[in-house]
Amino acid sequence: MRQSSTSVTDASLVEQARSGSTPAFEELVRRHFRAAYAVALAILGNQMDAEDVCHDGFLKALERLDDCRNPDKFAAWLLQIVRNRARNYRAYRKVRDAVPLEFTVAVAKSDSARDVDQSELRRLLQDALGKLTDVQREVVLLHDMEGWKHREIAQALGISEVAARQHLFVARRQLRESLGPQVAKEYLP
Amino acid sequence: MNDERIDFSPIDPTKDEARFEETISSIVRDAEVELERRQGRLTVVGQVGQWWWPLLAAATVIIVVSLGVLWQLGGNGSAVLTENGIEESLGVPSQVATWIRSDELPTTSDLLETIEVSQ
Repeated sequence: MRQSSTSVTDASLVEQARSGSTPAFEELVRRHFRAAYAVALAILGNQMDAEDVCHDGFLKALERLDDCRNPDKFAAWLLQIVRNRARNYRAYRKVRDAVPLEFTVAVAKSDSARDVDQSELRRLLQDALGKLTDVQREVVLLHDMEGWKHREIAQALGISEVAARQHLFVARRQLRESLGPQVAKEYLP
Repeated sequence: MNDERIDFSPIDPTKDEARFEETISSIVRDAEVELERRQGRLTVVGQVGQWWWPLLAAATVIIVVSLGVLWQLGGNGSAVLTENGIEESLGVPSQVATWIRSDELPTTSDLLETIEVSQ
């Protein structure tokens, strides 16, 4: 999957992390945190919960690293762990809270005008993302936020490339419609 | 197909660098125990340790079971074992124990007689 600027492959890092290399594990976390976060956020709809699930997901992945049969596809393997944990957490939260889930992104406290704009944009994005399906959210976040290619997304989600393209197309269209022409013109390219 | 990306930077976890670094450090810090365990697995002591714990657990189970049997046999267990064999010590009728030791197949009347005697 996606590699950072260094030439070290995921497979090599996984091998080193299996032997207890902290720098290798840290590089894996850096390299794949955003993708893991995108998947968790797509399911949970809450930044804080998504970060917590990613945190747990990386630790669980490390514990089970010997089960990763194809280290070249570490990212897809990791995302499956994060996806499962996010779904479990969502189910737990539903029972715990017994209220309908809403797509909410934590808004940082701030008093500057720029941050207020950012907060407002975060709120608009949260509302717009909340109208998509889990798969649409995952596809659009992995593609537009993380920069994954359709082939990589298809592999990670277990869908065809054509389906990934369709999900992206629909997700973008719905997001633009939800955000409205003014916001889309001002904030979106 | 529209190929213009949506700008998700407002919800990008890496945008706030300080917070992102804090998040990474937190994950790595919590992973230290597991990483150290994995480092330990590579040393000779670690390899022995890997075998030592299951071996110790198995030995403990064997000791507990053995103590249980000895406890059942009571204080004069060894004497009983010597005289009558372990079958009788465990409550098996002596005639049955004889058949077990001799590989001799009992007749139907022998079996009925033994059952009557044991009742």
